[in-house]
Amino acid sequence: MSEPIPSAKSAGQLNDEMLSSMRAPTWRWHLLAFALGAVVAWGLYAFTYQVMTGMNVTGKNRPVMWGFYITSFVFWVGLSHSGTMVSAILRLSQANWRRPILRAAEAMTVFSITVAGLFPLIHLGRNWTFFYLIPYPNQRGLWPNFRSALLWDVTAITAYIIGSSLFLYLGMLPDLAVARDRSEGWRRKLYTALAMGWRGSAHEWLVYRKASTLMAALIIPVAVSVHSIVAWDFAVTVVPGWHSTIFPPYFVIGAITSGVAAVISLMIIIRRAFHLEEYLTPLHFDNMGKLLLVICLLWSYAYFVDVNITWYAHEPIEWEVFSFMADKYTPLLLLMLFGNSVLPITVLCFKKLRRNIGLMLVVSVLINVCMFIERYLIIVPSLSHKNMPFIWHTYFPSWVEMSIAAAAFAGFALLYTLFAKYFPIMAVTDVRALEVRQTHVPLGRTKVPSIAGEE
Amino acid sequence: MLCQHCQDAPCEPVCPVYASYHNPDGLNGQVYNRCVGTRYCGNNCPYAVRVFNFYDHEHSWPSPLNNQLSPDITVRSRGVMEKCSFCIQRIRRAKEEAKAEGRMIKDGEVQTACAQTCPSDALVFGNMADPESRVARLSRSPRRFRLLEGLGTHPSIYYLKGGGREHV
Repeated sequence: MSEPIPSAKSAGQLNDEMLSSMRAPTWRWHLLAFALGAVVAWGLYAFTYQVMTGMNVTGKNRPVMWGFYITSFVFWVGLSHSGTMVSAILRLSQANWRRPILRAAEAMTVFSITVAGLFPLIHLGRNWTFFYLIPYPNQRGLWPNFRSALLWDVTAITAYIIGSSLFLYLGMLPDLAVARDRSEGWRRKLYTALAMGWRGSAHEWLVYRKASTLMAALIIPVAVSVHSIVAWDFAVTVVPGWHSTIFPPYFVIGAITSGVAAVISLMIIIRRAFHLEEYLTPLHFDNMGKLLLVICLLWSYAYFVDVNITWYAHEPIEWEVFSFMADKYTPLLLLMLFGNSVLPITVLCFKKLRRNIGLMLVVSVLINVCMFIERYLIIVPSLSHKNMPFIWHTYFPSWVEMSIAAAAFAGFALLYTLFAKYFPIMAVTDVRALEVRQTHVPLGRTKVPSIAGEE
Repeated sequence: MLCQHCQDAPCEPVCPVYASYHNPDGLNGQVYNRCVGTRYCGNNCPYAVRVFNFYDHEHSWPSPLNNQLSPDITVRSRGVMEKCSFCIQRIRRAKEEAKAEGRMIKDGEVQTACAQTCPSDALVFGNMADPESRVARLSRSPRRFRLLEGLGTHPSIYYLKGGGREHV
């Protein structure tokens, strides 16, 4: 830990700085929220238009029955793996550098899984009958079909939304109490209700520690299962290019890649927007960069294995689909390999580059662009070039699909903007706990930061 | 191409609401009212013979064009999957008539619309479970084959390839 977290600040000062994002909104904030809201409203209009007119307003056709919506769905489920990875795994491994970023990551999980959960509903042909998918005793006398991977999806995503919201809320409890003590008016009432009478007694902390460790341990298998199940949507079918046993681990790795990259992008944005340069130091980017490097290597390996097995088995239809994809979508394929594999692996090998925040922003944003392309290249070419040549067809998203995909990004950003304004975006108590345990020990002529831990 | 009515149909297990199901006649049925339109079945059909109602076909016919619609069946609504049902309404009617008369359905009593209209009699419909039926006899021909048999879907439709001397 060469760059320590700043010390010698009073508790009040620390609270002040870390809760700075919660100060009264400026006109700029209002403008941003309004702009994002406008995009969301446009997306809602596009969706209403689709519901009133029919699925013919999308670019989908026979046989490409899934397109941008399912691509977006897989993409957003992937993004939701940020919080659990960064927060839960680092919490369990007691990596202290996680502290300033864990809240941002956990909030991202909740919002992106919420956005993801909307897409399967948006893509239904009869959206108004979505409740047919919910298992409850009904007048139709019909239980949903649990052999269908879509039902596994419904189950996994509901579990993940509940689990990750609880994880976020539990971690935020002491910070809500801090916010309660510092606010007034309706916000005070809100935080009082949300903090559930937290006083910070020794017993409360003991229970809190136990509960948050337990939640961290429980949420990891849920996260892994969610993206495995999303992969099964494809892997359990007989569609060439989808029917692959490596899909579940490959999808989980892909999800973590995009999740970690998104956390890095968000860290950079939050750092800039709320002037948290002292708390989100190059050290954090260095560590996150190492994590991302490992995951990009894993992703590259998984992708290589998937393609390599297709080539080695050389089953005619599988090979036909792959050749079609590589031929028709060459620029996208090359961009994806560059952005997901070549660029991050080259850049993240060097400490100096990992600590270059501008470059990290480029790398992390490009990874997510490429992950979207990756999902698109899995879904669309396979469907457009299935077993029967009599009905080969291409697909291009219509303005409705693009509007809704854009509205999803805006909606996510809007939720995040609101969250950052009304809730503590920095894990105040976690950072302060580290602060208290950290002292500066004189070593020769210099002072070295040292951290007292339980270990 | 029409629905192959697979005995191990890939479209059936993927439907979350049992809209695609296997009926006791061995047909691969589609319950339109259950369908929510996930289109998963359409993706998983290796023959790509499932058709999604992207458009509204119910109210889009100006009078008198609506008279061309079959009075025996309802027009499927927008947003559901549909497919060849082997003219299930004809099978049902023949079954009811046979039952009323207290007998089994005779071979050739039910004709699908496609078989009925085919001038060269290239399509034959019948009861495969009855070894004496015309369709069952034809399906034992050495010229028989089924589509994409390697996938293990066990389609109900047999094709007879041309050439050779052994015409059955």
